[in-house]
Amino acid sequence: MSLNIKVQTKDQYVLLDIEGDVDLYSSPDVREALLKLTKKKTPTILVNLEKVPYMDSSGVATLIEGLQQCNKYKGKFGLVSLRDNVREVFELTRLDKIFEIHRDVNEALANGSI
Amino acid sequence: MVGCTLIFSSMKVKQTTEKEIESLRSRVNDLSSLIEVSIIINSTLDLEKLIGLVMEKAQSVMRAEASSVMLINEKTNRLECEVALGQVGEKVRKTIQLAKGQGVAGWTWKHQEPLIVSDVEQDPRFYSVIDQKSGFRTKSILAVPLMAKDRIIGVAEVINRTDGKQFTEQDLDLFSTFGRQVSLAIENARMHRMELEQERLRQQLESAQVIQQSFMPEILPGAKADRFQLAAKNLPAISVGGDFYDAVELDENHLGLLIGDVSGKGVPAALYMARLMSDFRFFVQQKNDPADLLTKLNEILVDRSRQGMFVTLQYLIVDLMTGRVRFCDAGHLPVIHVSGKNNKVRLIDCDKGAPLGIMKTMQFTETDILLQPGDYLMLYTDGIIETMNEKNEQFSIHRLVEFASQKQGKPENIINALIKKVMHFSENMPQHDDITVMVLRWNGPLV
Repeated sequence: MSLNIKVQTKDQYVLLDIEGDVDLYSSPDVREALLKLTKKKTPTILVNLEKVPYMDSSGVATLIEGLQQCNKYKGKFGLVSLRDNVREVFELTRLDKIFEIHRDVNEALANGSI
Repeated sequence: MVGCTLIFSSMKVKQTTEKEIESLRSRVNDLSSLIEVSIIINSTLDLEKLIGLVMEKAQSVMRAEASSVMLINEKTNRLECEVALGQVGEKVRKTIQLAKGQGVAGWTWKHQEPLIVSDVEQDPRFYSVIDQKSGFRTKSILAVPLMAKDRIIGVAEVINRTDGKQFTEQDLDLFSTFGRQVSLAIENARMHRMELEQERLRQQLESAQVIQQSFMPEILPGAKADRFQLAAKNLPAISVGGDFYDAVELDENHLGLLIGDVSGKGVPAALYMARLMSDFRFFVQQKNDPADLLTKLNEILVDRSRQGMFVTLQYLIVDLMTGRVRFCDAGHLPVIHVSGKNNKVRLIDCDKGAPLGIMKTMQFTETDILLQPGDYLMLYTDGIIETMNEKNEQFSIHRLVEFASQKQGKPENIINALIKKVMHFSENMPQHDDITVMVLRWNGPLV
């Protein structure tokens, strides 16, 4: 399954829509898109994982790198709309202690964390 | 008069026949040369030597004073001379570098068509600088593109016919055939070079695998001990993986056990793991508290964090006198505790920390387990539970728990049976992730 990445710039944040499996082979594309945003010091990045049916540890590492880069310039980084199996991976490995994870964009906005 | 006419006609017939015979002889020569070229092509894979031999043949058949083969350098996007034959060949070979569209060869590259230039002085496409540098005088050129499938890879040229005549359409056909042979030879040699390179990479990966495996203990502590039995196995998915385990005798009554999984696969994961293993061996003797050790390892890993790589792991200290196990978990999977008495399986619930290598501020909390003599502990990586079958189902923690509740015996036998079961489950599906299992049986304190 090929990967599609779309970047939408909104008033308060930039939304990165990912569609497809994020694994060893496709994660470099996600990395490129994320690093483009962090290089520009984008203040708030939300990654929409609604259309990501599977993510392996390479994919998770890519998101971690995005988060680490964002933290360096005190930006905000959040994940939204995770499917159950992807959310389980984050919970099982306690990555939910690291990432801001929200049910959807509205929750992320309402929560005030972004 | 009639006689004269007959003689004249017969002379004409004779002349025509001789011309035809000459033409046929020439065709036979051309064909023989082409056959010789195919023999040359199969004789060596040394690209430069090969092209030189083919062009020597081509130059002689085409009755040309000089010839050259230029190949496109994709990095510089220039035509560069691979072989140049003739009086000034060697001199020219080192100086020619043409852009797309520059000179007759550059034109042929651009248009991907053969070209005859009968008088270079009358043709604006001719690039005279090469003649000025070499002192050679070019009069006419026949150039053909060298094609590999649909892609142009270079240009071959013959220059000036030795008999002073002009290159003909027939010459063009013949030289195009030579060009196809040269292209084929180049492609063969390149394929061969690529295969050699792949073989070299494969050998390097094999060496990396040997080095990686050497970081994991070949002989585990306790092979001769009465108080416990320990076994472990690691099956990488590709030659080098990111799973690892270790076991260290901290003192005569304490055993340290480590299992983990580095994010990603291949050489980067293996290098990350190798450095982590050496850090672990260094600090394990200094820190007798699992939480302290994980905090230290986390600090080191965050400092050298690259591309978001992280590691999930568990570190356990087993007291061989009391059966008390103190452990810390960094984002890893639940430890399985099996009662030796009734086979009851318990997934150890603990206050798990986040994986190592992401953030320095992470806290790790210690959890205790109390083993009874004969109890087992099973540590594993996600490769086991995420193994898929043809129906797209995972082996899952449930099957692992079910297995653990049915199997007793030597840890080594348990691991072999588990791996056999997982392989049977996945049947013909490829192994996607590394598989690592470690099993400890505590027999009780020394009597």
